[in-house]
Parts: sequence; C-alpha cells; structure tokens
Amino acid sequence: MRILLLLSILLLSLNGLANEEIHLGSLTVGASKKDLMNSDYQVFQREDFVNRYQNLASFLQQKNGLQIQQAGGLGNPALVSIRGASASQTTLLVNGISANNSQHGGYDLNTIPLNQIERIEISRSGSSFDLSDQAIGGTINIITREGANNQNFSLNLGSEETLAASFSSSFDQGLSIQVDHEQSANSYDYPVPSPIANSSQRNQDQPLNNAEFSRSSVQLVQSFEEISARVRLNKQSKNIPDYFRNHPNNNASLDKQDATFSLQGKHKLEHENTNSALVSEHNWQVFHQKTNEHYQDDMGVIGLGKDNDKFYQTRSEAQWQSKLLFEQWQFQTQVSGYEESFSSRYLNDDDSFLCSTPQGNCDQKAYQQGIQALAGVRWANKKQNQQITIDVYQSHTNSYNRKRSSTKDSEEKNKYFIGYNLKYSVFNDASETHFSIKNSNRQPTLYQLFGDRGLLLGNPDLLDETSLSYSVDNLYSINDRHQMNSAIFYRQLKNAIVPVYDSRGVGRYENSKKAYLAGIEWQWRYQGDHFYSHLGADLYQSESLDDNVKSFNNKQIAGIYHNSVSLITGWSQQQHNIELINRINANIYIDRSNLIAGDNYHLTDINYQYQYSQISLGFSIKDLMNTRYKDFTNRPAIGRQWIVFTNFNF
Amino acid sequence: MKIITPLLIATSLLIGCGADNDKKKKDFKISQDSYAVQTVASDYSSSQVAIGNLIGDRSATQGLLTKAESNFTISTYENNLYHIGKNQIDAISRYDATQSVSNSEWAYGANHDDEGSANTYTLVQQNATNGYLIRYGSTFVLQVDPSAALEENFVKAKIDLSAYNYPGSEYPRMVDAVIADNKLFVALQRLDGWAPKPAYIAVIDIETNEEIDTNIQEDGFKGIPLNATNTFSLVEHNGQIYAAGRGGYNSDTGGLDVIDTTTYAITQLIDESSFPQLIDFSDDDNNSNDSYYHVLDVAVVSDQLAYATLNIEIGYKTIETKIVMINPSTKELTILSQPTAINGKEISDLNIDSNDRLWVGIANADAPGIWVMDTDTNTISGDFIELDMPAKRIEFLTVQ
Repeated sequence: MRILLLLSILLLSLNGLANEEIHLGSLTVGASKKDLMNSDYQVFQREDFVNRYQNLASFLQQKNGLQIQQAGGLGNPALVSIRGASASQTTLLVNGISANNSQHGGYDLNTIPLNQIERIEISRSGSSFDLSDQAIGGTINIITREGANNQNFSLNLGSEETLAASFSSSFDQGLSIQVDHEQSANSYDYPVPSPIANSSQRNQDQPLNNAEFSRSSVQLVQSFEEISARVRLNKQSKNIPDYFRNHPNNNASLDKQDATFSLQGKHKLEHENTNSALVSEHNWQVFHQKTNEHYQDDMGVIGLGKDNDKFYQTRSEAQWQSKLLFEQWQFQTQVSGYEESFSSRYLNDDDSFLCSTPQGNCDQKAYQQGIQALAGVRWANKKQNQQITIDVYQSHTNSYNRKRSSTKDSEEKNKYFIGYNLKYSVFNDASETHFSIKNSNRQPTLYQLFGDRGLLLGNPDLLDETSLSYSVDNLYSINDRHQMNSAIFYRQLKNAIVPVYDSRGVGRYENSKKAYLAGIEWQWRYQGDHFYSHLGADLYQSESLDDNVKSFNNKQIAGIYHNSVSLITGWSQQQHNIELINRINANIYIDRSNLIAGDNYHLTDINYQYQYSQISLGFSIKDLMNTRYKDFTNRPAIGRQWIVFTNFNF
Repeated sequence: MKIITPLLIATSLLIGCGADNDKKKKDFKISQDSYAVQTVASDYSSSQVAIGNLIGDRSATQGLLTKAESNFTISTYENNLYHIGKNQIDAISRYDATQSVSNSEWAYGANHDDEGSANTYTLVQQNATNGYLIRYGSTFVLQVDPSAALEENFVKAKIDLSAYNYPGSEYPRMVDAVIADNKLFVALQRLDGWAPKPAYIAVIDIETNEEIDTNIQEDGFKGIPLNATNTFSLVEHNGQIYAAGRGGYNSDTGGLDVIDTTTYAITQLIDESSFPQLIDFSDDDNNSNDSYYHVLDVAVVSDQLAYATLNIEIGYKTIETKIVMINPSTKELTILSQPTAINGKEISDLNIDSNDRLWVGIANADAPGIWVMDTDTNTISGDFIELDMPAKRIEFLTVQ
C-alpha cells in the first residue's frame, strides 16, 4: 500500500514537468471543474460519474464528509452518513421527493442506476434556495434524466459475475425511455464462522451461497415545455445468505416490486413593472409510489423459524413551491403534503394475527400523514458580496395503526415541529464563507412506532430526534488551479432513537438523552491541465450523554469513522484518464457502549477510462490490495472487486 | 508545493497508524472464591464478563471477554469459566480463572452435525471429564469431555430428545438441566411458535445415556410433565428439583414446581392463584393492558428457604420484578418488601453462593449491578456491585 501512495506522490511531483512540457490535446475526459465547489452545497453533473463508477454509492464514497454504509455485496442497501450523522438522519430525495421510507426510515442509494441520473445535489449545512435541506445530517437530491438527446447503451461486467446493462433513447415529442438491468452472484469468499460441512473449521473461507441479486427497471419520461410526467417500474430480488453456516440449502429471499408515477410542472413568469423586473417561478409535483415486498425463508435458516412475510407500502405526495426574485431579494414558499401507508402479513405466523409475540411480528396497517409549510427569504447586498438566507418551516405529522385483529385504529400520534435554517454568506474574488445554523428533526419510523419485524416492539410514545447545528463552510481559491474547502461544525442531538432490550430479551425503541458531534472537514484540490489531486480529511469528536442507559453515557457515537483521510490523484490526457484513490478510515466503535473498537483500514481504488469518439471504455478496481478488515457492522468486508465499463452513444 | 508537503506528511503519519487496530486484551485471574457475571449491553450490540471477590471488597473487574455480540452466557465448574456463544455463534471456550481470563484453555464449536444453530444455553458439568451441553435449538444434548485437549475428542455422545418436539416444531427447546442422583434432568419448554405448551423434564441415566421412564403406568412421554409452562430455570437442592416457568409471553402467570428426584412426584408451589393482587386482567380483548406476574427464576438455600422472581409485566413491558420467599416444606409464600433497595427494580438473575447469600442481578439500564443479601435476615450484605451493563447470568468460581 505504501508503494501506491508513493506512486500517487510521484504523479503529483511529475506535474511540475507536465504543466510546462505537455501540449494540451483535446481533453475529452478528466476531472470536472464542477468538482470545485463549496463543501456546503455541491452539484455534480453526469460527466462526473457516468462511466466512471459502478453505482451512486461508489461515486459518493469519494466525497469529503460522506461515509457510505453498505455491508455485503450488490443489492444490500447502501446508506450514507453526512457529517457524522446516522444514515437515517440523512434525507435522500429523488427529484425532490423523499425516498426515505416511513416504514423503516431506510433508502438505498443504488436503487437508481447511474445511467438514469442527470444531476446530484448535496447539501450539508442547511438551506439552499435550490435544495431544501431539513435533515439532521444533510440531504442528497438525485435528479433523474429527462429525455436523452441520443441513444445510449452501456454494459458493465465485473467480479462475482456482476453484470449491468442499460439502454436509453429519446423519441419525438419529448418521450424518452431508459431500461436498466443489473445482477450479481455475490459469491465472494467469506470466512464462515461455523461451516455446516464441518463446524470445527471455524472462519473457513467459502464462496457465499444464496447471495444473488438482480434488479431491472424501466423509466418512461414524457416532457413538454413546462410539464413532465415520469413513470418508473422497478423489480428486484435479493437472496439472503446464511452468513453463519453458509447452508447450501438456504433459499431465503426478499423480492420487491415498486411502481412510481410523478407529474411535475415548472412555470417561470416575468412580471414587468416600471422600474424593475420581477421574476417568479412556480414548481409543483405530484407523486405516487406503490411497493410490494415478499420475504421468504422456507428452511428457517435465517430467522427463528420459517418465514413467508408480505409487506405493502404506498406513498402519495404533492408539493407546491413558488419563488419570487426581485432585485436583491428572493422569496420562496413551499407547501407539501403526503400520506404513507404500510401493511404487513406474516403468513406463516399465527401469533402475528393476534400481535402476541415479543418479536414485534404483528399483522397491521400503519399510516402516516404529514403536511409542511415553508417560507424563505434571501437577501443579497448590491455588491453581491453578502447574502442572508432564512428558511422557517412547520411540519405536522399524524401516525396511527390498526392491527389486523382489531376493528379500531390506535390512538393517533400528532407531532408538530418548527425548524429553521439561517445562513450568512460572504463572498469575495477568492473565497466564499457561509455561517449556518440549522434546526432539524427526524420523525420516528412506523416500525419504531408500531413494531419492527425483527426483535423489537413498537413504542408509540417516541419523540422526534432533533438537532441544532452550527457550521462554517469556506471555499478558498488559492489560484486558478488550487482550491481549499474547509468546514467546521458542531451539532447537538436530542432524543436519538435507540433500541433497548430488557432482561427477557424483549426490546423496543427508546429516546436517549442527547449527544454532540463536532468536526472539521477540509479538502485541498489541485486541477492542472492533465493532473489533478484532492487531499482531504474529516476529523470528528463526539459524545453521547444518556443517563437512562448507563453504558451509553459519555461514550463516542457508534457506527461512524471519526477520522478519515483521502487522497485522490488523477491524470487525464487526450482520451485517457486514470485515477488512484487512497482512503483511510479509523477510530470507530461498533457498539454504543464503546467496548468494541472497529478496524482501521486503508483502501486503494483505481479507475481508468478511455474515450474514443462516442465510445468509452474503462475499468474500476475497488480495494486493489484486497485488504482484510471488518466493516462498520463488524462483518468481514468483501475484498477486491473489479468492473469493466463500456458505453456507446449513437 | 509548500502547501502540499505538510499535508502529505500528515497523511503519511495517519497511514502509519491506520493499518492495525490495537485490541489489547485485559488479562485477569482470581486468587480467591469469586463471582462471575455475564453482562449484555441494553441495545444488544456488545457484551462483557465481570468478575469480583465473593466476600470483602466485591467491586467488579469489567471489560473481560468483550464481544461484539450479545448472545453469550457463562457456566462455571470449580475454577473453570465457560464462555458460551449461543444462537448463531455456537462456540464454547474454557478459561482456568486462576490462571487467566483472557487466554482460553480451549475453544470448541458447540454445533455437531447440526443443520442450524444449536444455540447452546448452558454446560452442566458432572466431573472433570463429563458434562452436557444443553442446546435450545437442537434435538440433541451433547455429552462432552471438558478436559479434552483436542476438539475431535470433545463430544462423546448425543442424546436424542426429538420425541419431545411439539408437533410442527423442529426442536423441543431444552433450556436448562441439573444433575442429581446420577441422572441428568433436562427441562424442555416445547413451545409452539411463541405459544407455551405442556413442558416436561426428561430424565437421563448418566451411566447409559438412556431416558428413564418416570411414569411407567401411563402412555406418552417418559419425562415428568410440569404444571407450569415455558420453563426458564432449573435448580437442584437436596434431592429436589425446582422448575420455574414463566407461562405465556403476554398472558397467564406460569409457576414454580418442585420435583422429587427419586419418586418424580411433583408439587406446585406457585400458580396463577398464588398472588391475585398482582394480576390485573380486563376482559376487553386487549391483552396489552393486562398485568400478570411471571415466574422467571428460582434460587434455593435449604429445604425451608428458597426464593423466586415474579416479573410483573403489562403486555410486553416489564414493570418491575418482585422476589418471593418460599418455604418449600410448608409452601408458605411471602413477597419481600425488604430490603427497599430491590423494590421497583428489574431483576434478571438469582443465585445462591457457598455462604448461602442470595445474589440479585439488577437489570435496570440506568443503574445495573448486583445486590447481595443475607438470607437469614433478608438484608443487604455489603455495597452495591456496580456494573456498566445489566447482568444476565451470575455464577461462582471456587479456587481449588
């Protein structure tokens, strides 16, 4: 690994020669200059990630201040932590609609293939008039493609029998289609704790059985001048491996189908008056999604018995946003409402009908409805070197459930929250600095309120998690080629929702008292004619304060690497681009009681891309040195993975 | 380049300390009779063992045998401590506590030709070379040699109890066992899913590993049918076996039975009528607001003195645990109101030490620990033993 670091340094030092001696050819590939942006709010375009990374998680993993949480191979949900917050405290939006599941609060970064993504927006410290960020950690907004200008076909092949193919095409009258498929056997070597063939051969490396994954999706977009309609169908199947014994007869699986329809409109009006131009923009969106999941475990290998469970979920949402621009002032209002329902059927479990199990298996239907109103104002001085942004919003949610064995709904739980984002920004020729205060919340999920399908009962009295964050983000352009991003932040968190079990082993979610997390994030970027380099580090310090649970009190927040360093070095010349990524993650506790320190590790990835006319080829190798370590779940990491990309535009 | 150099130096330094995780093991050994307690984090994300002196300063040395899993328990035999990984871990390690509670004498698997996780609950040891692994997720008891130096010699025999599988279940759910009169008594919960069905104690002749028919006159199982369902704990004292059964998970009370190891006669000491004041049942088809007591554990001092825990639950929520004092001879029951230190607490385990003191595991997450009581006066002995995490199981080690 040190050789690779030295190679990176060599590439860096060679740049001193490269700038003077190499004639700049037609640069068709390379680091996008749009990478050079403030850590507070970032926007990435297609050329930043398409044909360079396997999926969205792989792309975001390179970004400062973000930690990807994905255990296991392709198909396992990929979550993201922003600025040390938990994955559930991050909001993932798809075209402005929350992808966070009210049922279990989760999302999967990789649900939408990279080829279907037009743009990715990331907000950390609070309000941007372009991206409403109300999450405790931060918000990621994925904007999907709307009408390809040509036909595009891509094919990726990788280790563990990984295959991904996508096709997109546009037709007349604004109609476009995107079709994607990906699959993987995920049969990587895994140290099986108690192999079924011989339980005394503990931690013997074996190819993982029953870990296959496949996903197919199709998206149709019909765009008109001010209105677009989008339909997306997704079907996926993930086999669940038996990590403990690697049973050859294990056939546990989770199948999922979802259908999404959205309609959105954007209207821009210019209102002329005698002296000044008044511009207003009005956006609206309606959205409906239906998801069916089926979990089966005929052998009873994974859980405590045989499972045949079905879960159904629907979500409908409507949003209206109006913006008004008048001289130095911008105003915005936003109103949104949603309804989400979740129902479960545990077909093999008679006790679940009566909800009489301490596991929390309960045939029920749960509902959550919410409305939110937001008002925001932004003012910039005449010199445009100062800016003040204020957002205030109020949200109201209502949750209740009905057990299948009951004829009555449970007591409704109503919650109100008033949040705000305040930002003061200063700009000059070389730098911009943002001072932010963000007051945010995260509502308990329906599982946390009404029962988890694991070993946890519901707790309808749970309070929202709330946080107050202070941050200073700075972007300093040293010169045309050197840029420095830095951020310092402090977050107070209250009422974090944690699972707590009693002496019988029956658990439910409880609110812990409070925690704080402070951090420094910085990144130095160099962008040369051919060579580019990013060096960055995240350093966090945290403490949880919980006198309800003694072993959690005065402990570091678990599940987050508190020290991270990354060095990205790349070279682009003519049709070639090669990139070497070194990452070090350290200082993590697996458990809240801080008994178990997780592994520190150093990973090296390499990406290569060749562009010729309308064809691009490339490969990516993750974990080049096949490092052995345990991930944030304390499970052995997969190890080296490779993928070969091909992409055709025609 | 001026800016780059210090950053690279900083990076190199971090890389230098990035590769290995310094996991220092805490080495510890005992020099006098001691207690050992398995503790588990309240969110089940980790566990550790704590050990301290039986008398005198009982402060616990913690941070022993720390694990990223919670599914661990302990058994002891003389100076030997067994650290048992249960469901989905299925491993057992032995430590000579007088030498080291960090470096095991051996570590063997607790699965043996099993299809799934055997989920070993305890090791019941008869002597230095004979013991039995009681495995909740299996139909077999494993007879083992705890002195085996090689894993291939660890398992000596298998005792099949599959006859006790409740119809539709894959295993009988053996939960605890005791040895008395050269017989192995194994408690079998026999749940149907989560619903408790008639529980039994199977009796095994240690000499032959054959099951003894405890009621030749009747057809059916050879074992002893219990009055209380969902057995949680077995304790043997002076030829009597005490079986505590909690009953259903959100209904009925369970009870406490005592069985004569020679005649197999069974007497019920606690049933649903024993403490009507602790039951609050409303006939409204909503069992989540009904209050019951559940007998979870038992500890025996003598033929005239025993203790049991009554876990007061509303729905699935534990309100508190009461201790009831029992005279097995007269069947007199008295709920303890003293000492006040144990009132209103959640109690996870009871055990009696060699000085006839009652050890009470307090499982409240905000102040977990152990109270020790003098059983002749039912008063506190010594200071509260503070723990970082709630105790799951208390055992004792003797220095040979």
